[in-house]
Amino acid sequence: MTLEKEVREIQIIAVKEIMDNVRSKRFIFIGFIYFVLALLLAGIIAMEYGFMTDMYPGQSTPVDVLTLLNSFSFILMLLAVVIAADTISIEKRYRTIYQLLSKPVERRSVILGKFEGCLAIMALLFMLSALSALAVTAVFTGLYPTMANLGDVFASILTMALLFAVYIALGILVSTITKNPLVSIIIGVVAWLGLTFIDVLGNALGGLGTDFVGGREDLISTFDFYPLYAKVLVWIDPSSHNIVNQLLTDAGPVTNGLPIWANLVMLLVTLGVLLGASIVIFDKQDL
Amino acid sequence: MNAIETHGLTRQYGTAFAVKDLNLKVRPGTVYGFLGPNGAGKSTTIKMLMGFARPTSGTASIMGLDVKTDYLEIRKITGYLPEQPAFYEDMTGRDNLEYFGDLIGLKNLDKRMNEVFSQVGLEGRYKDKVKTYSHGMRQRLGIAIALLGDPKLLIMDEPTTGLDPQGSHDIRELIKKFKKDNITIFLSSHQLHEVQEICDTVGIIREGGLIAEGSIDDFLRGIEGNKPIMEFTVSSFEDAQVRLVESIKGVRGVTAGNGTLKVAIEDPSVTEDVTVALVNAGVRIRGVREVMPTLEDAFLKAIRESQEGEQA
Repeated sequence: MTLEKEVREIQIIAVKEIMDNVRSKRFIFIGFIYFVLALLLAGIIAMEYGFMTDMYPGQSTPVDVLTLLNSFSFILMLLAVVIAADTISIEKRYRTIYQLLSKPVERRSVILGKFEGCLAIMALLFMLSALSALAVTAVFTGLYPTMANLGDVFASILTMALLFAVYIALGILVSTITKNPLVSIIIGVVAWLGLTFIDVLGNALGGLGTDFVGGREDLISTFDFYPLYAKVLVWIDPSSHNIVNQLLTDAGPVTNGLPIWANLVMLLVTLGVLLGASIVIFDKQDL
Repeated sequence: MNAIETHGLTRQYGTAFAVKDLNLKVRPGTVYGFLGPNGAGKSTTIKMLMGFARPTSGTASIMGLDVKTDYLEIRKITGYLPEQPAFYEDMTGRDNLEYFGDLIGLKNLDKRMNEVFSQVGLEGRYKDKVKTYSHGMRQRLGIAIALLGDPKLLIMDEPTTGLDPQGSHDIRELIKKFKKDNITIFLSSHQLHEVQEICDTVGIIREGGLIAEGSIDDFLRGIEGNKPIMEFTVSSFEDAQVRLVESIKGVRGVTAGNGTLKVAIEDPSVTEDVTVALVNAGVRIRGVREVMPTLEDAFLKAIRESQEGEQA
């Protein structure tokens, strides 16, 4: 099979996945909540113009609204897992998988097509929310983004997409090992909760295990003093590698003790492992 | 080159064999009926041919292509109608067809879609969502999707199950038409009268292995050796009376049904001996007629002999 043909098949499956999501009630519901939240944040900032200048005197930029928006990115991570968790299992449950795989299509193309479709729709939702929030803020505060700001926004969208990709891959992995869409969604949510819990646990244990010799006032960098096991627990959660704030606020070169490039590598490796496992498992599976 | 050929095809789940040492040969241009009781291994065989399940051992090929390695090539030349075909319910029949047509990579897809819709008689409903389709229409859409790639081989799993008589008839007529178009058809079915009507060759599978195979004519002839079968319509009878008939010289076998005894005999003169024996045994005979053996008789006999052979 030529690469060109396989890419074309992946696109066809991805487009169908996007259309399925656009029509899906759960995507519309959660996506709408997030979008409204984004506009609400922008609206609050617009109404309380002083808020930004008080909080960041002399440093306020139009993209500050995105750092607030980023605080709610957990909603998108959950949505990413949920929309991906039944992509394969629903085809098995309703037996459409037999129609699909009786055509000259590689199984990995099905996985990659579903992945691409979910990623595109999630990235689109984030981009739409972020740009809408920026527009609202700009119109009501007069803080119009500069080209440099827009560059930061673009970088944020890209890194956020990488984060979505990891959670989508997690959802797809769950979907390949189950046959019931409801079960796969439940397992996906439990996996998401589990990762969040591990992160919280790591931070709790890290806080308890940190030895503040001589007393430290620099609480922001306490992560550096966590014991290694606590750091590892935190790093297991993909959302701990969310570097959007660092990109937007120039808060420093590190997130959770890792430089930006290391966080990106961690996300890429996790993505590769999850997608690779999905492809191998699905390829070996009897239907 | 055979359309389908398997050698020692085996699929094992733990210690259980779903298919065991299956050797099949399906000649091009024929309609092959793949029969067997529930759980005999028909669907597993079809799944292995389509690449949905991997053989534990043995080989299988379609048009000379290995199912393990050449599955993409095989799917280009094979149409598949699953048992109870499933579709994307919220999409129209046409959108379903277009999606699969795109995946096949068909050029002139619109033209081809119109052709297959016309072939299966769905022209009037292709713009409706699939969830509004009747069972018969879904079966037609399944066949339309199977035909999209202009296949040389059609694999159909229970194509008429659940259809009303008109729907079954229409599908049979379609299959006959495909045969005229020189498409090889491999179908599994429980509707034995249909298989008898449309198939050239029949294979019977039991517990994963092929227990009988042959052309319909040879098959039926082989079952009773082309000897007559007399059907006695009787008031009532007991096992002892059946055994009495079986003991008569020239009687090859007796099948007891609901108010009937089918007696396979060496030649027509034995009919009189059977009639006398039954009357003397107190059985009231309401009618006697010669019947042709059916595929159902052949199927049941093959299964029975296989079971007896196993017990022996």
